Amino acid sequence: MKLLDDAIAGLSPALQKALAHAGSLALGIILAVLLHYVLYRIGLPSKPFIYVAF
Amino acid sequence: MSELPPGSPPRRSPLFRPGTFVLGLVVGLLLCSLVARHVSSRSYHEGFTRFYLGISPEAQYYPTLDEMKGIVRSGCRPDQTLVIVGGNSIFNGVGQPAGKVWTEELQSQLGDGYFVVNFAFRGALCTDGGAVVAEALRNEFPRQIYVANTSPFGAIAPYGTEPYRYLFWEALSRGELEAFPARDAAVSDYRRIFMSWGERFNAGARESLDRILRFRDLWNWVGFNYLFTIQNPMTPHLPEAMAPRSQIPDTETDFDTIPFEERFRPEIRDAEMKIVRGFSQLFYAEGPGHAWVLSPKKAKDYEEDVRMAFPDDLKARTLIMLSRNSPLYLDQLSPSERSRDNQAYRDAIGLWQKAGYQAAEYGTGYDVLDFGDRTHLTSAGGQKLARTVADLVRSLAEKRGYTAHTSPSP
Repeated sequence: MKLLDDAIAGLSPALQKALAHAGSLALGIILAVLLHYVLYRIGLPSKPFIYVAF
Repeated sequence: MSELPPGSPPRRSPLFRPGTFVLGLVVGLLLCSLVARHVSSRSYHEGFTRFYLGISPEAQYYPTLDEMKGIVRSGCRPDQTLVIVGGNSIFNGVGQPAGKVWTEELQSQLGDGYFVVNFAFRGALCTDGGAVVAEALRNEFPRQIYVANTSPFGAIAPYGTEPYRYLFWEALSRGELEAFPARDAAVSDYRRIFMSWGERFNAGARESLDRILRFRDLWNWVGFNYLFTIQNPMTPHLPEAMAPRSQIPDTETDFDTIPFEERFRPEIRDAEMKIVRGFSQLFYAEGPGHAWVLSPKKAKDYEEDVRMAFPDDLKARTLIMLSRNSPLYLDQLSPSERSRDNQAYRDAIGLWQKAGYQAAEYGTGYDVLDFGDRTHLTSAGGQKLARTVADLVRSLAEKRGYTAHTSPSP
């Protein structure tokens, strides 16, 4: 991370800002999709329904 | 880079912007919700016949309300009368393989003026699955008939039964059900008596979140079309376990391929006879002249259950079919028991009709070979059922004014 930070520090301030925003936005979206999936998973019963005819 | 002096604020990574990150979270959730709404607005179940084992709660696949509404929207034209089939495994077509399901025959009997969709589930009540979808679509498809099966004096809960009750909660939380004071009171009692405050909170939070975020809709669509991620007993081994559910075929057993002796094994006959007798034994007493009389308490309770099952304005378009048992077992009843069984069917039909529903029975006069077991039908039995239901549906559609191109009431 430090290496990446240092590399970015060498870029122009405008490019640094744009990259930081793009990266943060992408990270947020990825975590949102993961959260969305987790919400789906935790709503499912832990054991499947077993049908018994009677 | 040197260490920061003590007391100075922590150094901010030039790569991370908390505000933009939060914005990303919100945008991501919003995108998921929008995609879910879009994909479930139309059917992704190509050539849908029924919810077979691979796409049912037995396989950890829980069809959503919007997914089911999408199936109807994609199939039913505005000029057709919508026929939604609900009920249990008998109406789902257990024992009838794809291509020989009784609802396919019903569609063929009714013809192009009708669109038949089978939303019956194994072990469901007549108020489950299809009933919820039918009510949710009452205004969008007012030319509509709901058909479901039940047994005389069997369980009826206005909020359905597990594991299908989630559909009722889903519709209720989205305001897709009618206000119906009798049912609302029963739901309120159920929540108070059978759910702890923690369960009520969890259920409420889950439904509220799903109403906004639609996570069930999105991940069902992903699981059906691309990648299924839930371990389940129907496809326990990789790679089939993760295959999209669209690739899991309907492999319903065909009763006609199982020898008669295996379907009606002698060792289960006693247990089956107990069930057959149980249809009427508990609620009837012999009255004057050997007539069988229904217990007043049971009559009152059942009448109340029937009254609460569906909102008043939807009762008249609801056709309840009472399922008879196989003659293989009925013929073993004594004449007195047979008379009691017949009386139970007459009384139950009478109570449904008195409450404003259409009601009839099926199975009388069916052959032993029309049944695959005590209660489920073979393909031949399914064809007979389809003919009976088709006649009743046509007659009800005419009575409701669906055949004339007027504006029908739901």
